[in-house]
Amino acid sequence: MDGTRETVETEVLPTGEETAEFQPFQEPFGASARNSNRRRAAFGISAASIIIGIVLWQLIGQFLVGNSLFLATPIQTLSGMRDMWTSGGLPQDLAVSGEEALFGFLIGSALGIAIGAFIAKNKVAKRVLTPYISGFYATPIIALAPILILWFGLGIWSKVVVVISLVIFPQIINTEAGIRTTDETLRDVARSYGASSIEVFRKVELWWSLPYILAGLRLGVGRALIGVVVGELFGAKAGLGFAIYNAQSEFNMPQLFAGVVIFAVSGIVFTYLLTLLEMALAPWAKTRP
Amino acid sequence: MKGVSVRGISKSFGNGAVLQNVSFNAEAGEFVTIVGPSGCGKTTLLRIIDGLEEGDFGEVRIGDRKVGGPARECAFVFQADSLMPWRTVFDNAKLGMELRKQDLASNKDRLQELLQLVGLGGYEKYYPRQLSGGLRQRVNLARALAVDPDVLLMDEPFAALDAQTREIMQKELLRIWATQQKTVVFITHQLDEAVYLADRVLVMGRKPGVIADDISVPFDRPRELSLKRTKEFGQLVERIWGTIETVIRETGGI
Repeated sequence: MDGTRETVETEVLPTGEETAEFQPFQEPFGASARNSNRRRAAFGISAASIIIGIVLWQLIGQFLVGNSLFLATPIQTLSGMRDMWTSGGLPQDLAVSGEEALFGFLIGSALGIAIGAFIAKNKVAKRVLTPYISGFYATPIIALAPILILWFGLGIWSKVVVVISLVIFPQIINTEAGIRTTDETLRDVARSYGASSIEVFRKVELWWSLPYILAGLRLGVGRALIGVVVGELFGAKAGLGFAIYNAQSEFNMPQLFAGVVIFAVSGIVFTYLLTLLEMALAPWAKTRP
Repeated sequence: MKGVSVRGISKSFGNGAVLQNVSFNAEAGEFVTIVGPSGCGKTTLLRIIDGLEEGDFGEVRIGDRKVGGPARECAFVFQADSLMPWRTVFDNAKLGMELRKQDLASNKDRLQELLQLVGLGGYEKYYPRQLSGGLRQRVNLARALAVDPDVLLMDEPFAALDAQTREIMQKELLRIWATQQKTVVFITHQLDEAVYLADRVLVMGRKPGVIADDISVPFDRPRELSLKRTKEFGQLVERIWGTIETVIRETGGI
C-alpha cells in the first residue's frame, strides 16, 4: 500500500494491511451499551404514557363523569374483570377467543403469503385474482359475518373464517408487493451465478419480501382481534366478544370495559412480540419498509 | 485460465441497433478495458459475454467453449449495491459458490483468505448497509473471485464511488489481480481508469456500438497511482480522448 487512505462518511476506512488496527465505524448488530440505553429510554416513555393514560381515565371517570353506566373507571373495570374470572366465565372465554384468533391468524397469514407469492410469479393468476382481492379488501367483510356464522355455525370455526377473511387480504397485497419490487440487479446477480428461477425465488425474492411479510403480519394481529369480537357479537356460545355482548345487554359497564381492555392489551402484546420477531428475523431491514 | 473471443456480435432492442458486428479478443490473463460514451452498449456487450443476454448475431467463446446461458467460466462484478442486504459480508461472498454448487466446507478457508486479500478481514459478520461504498465493492469482488472464474467481467464497478476511494480501489484491484490468474474485461467511462488498469484499451463508438480503436498500454507493472501524473500517461489519455471525441461528433452530439 502507498499509505493513501480512502475517506468515507467522515471515518477513515482500511486499505490492505491497515485493516488489522482499523476501528469499524459501526458495531455489528447486537446490544451495544448505547443501544440498550436508548431502548430502555424508549420503553420508559411508552410505560409512562400508559400510566398517565390510566390515571387520567380514573380521574375523569370518578370526578367528571361520576357514573359507571357512562364510563367505568379503571378500578371498576379491574373489579369487573375479577368478577368475570371468579364467576368462571373468563378463563374459558379467553381460551375460545384465543383459539379463534390464533387459528384464523395463522391460517390466514399462511394462505395470504402463499397466494401473494403465487400471483406475484404468475401474471395470468394475478389478472384473474386481482379484482377479487381489491374488491374483498375494500369490502367491510364484517358485514358478511352474519352469513359466515350462518354457514359455519356457532362454534369456533365460523369465527376462524371471519378472522381469516380479515387477515388474508393485507397479507396477499404485502407479499405480492414485496416480490414484485425485488431489486432487478439482485435477481441478475443470482442468475449470473446460474440460479434457477426457484433459486431466485428462495434466495432473493423471498428474503427481499420478508420485511413486507412481517408488516403484513403486524397488520393481521389487529384485524384478527377485531374479527374475533365482531364474529362473536353476531353469534357464539362462548368467547370474549360473547362476554362483551352479554355485559352490554345487562348494562354491566365494568365487565364490558374489562373485555375491551383485554383485547387492547392483547393487541399491544402481540404487536410487540411481532416486533421482536422482526428484529430477530430481519435485523438488516431497519432502513427498509 | 481462458481467454475471451467475441465474434461479430450484433444486438438490437426495440428502438434500434445497440451493438453492430463487435469483435475482439482478450487473451488469457489479459486485462482489457472498454471505454465509450454512455449509451454505446458497453453493458449490453458485457452481459452478452456473461450469457445473461443473447446476441442477435455472432458468438462469444471462452476458451474453446461457445457461450449459451450464464457462463460458468465467468464471474460478473456489478455496479454498486448488488449485495444481498440480508446476508453478512461472509454470506454475500459465498453466494456464487452456493449457487454454483461448489463445496462450501472444503472452500471455507480459501474464502476466508480471499476476504483477507480484498481487505475485508474482520468484516465477515457485517451487513452491507453498515459498510461504505468502497468496502461494498470489495465484497462484490470477493464474491466474484470466490467462484474461481477464468474471466472476470466488471461493469463500471467503481462508478458510484467518490474520487479518492475510486483511485484506491483501482490500485487495490491491480494488487489483487496480480495474485490471481484471471482474464479481465472491465467497462468504464473514465479514461484515466481505463488506461491505468489495462493491458489494452478498446474504444467503443455508439449508435450502434462498434469497436472504434484498440490501443495497447505500454506501462510496466506494478503500476503506482503516481503513473497517472506522468506525461506519457497524459498523452495516451489525450489520444484516446481524441478518438472518442471524433466518435461522438460523427454519431451526432452528446
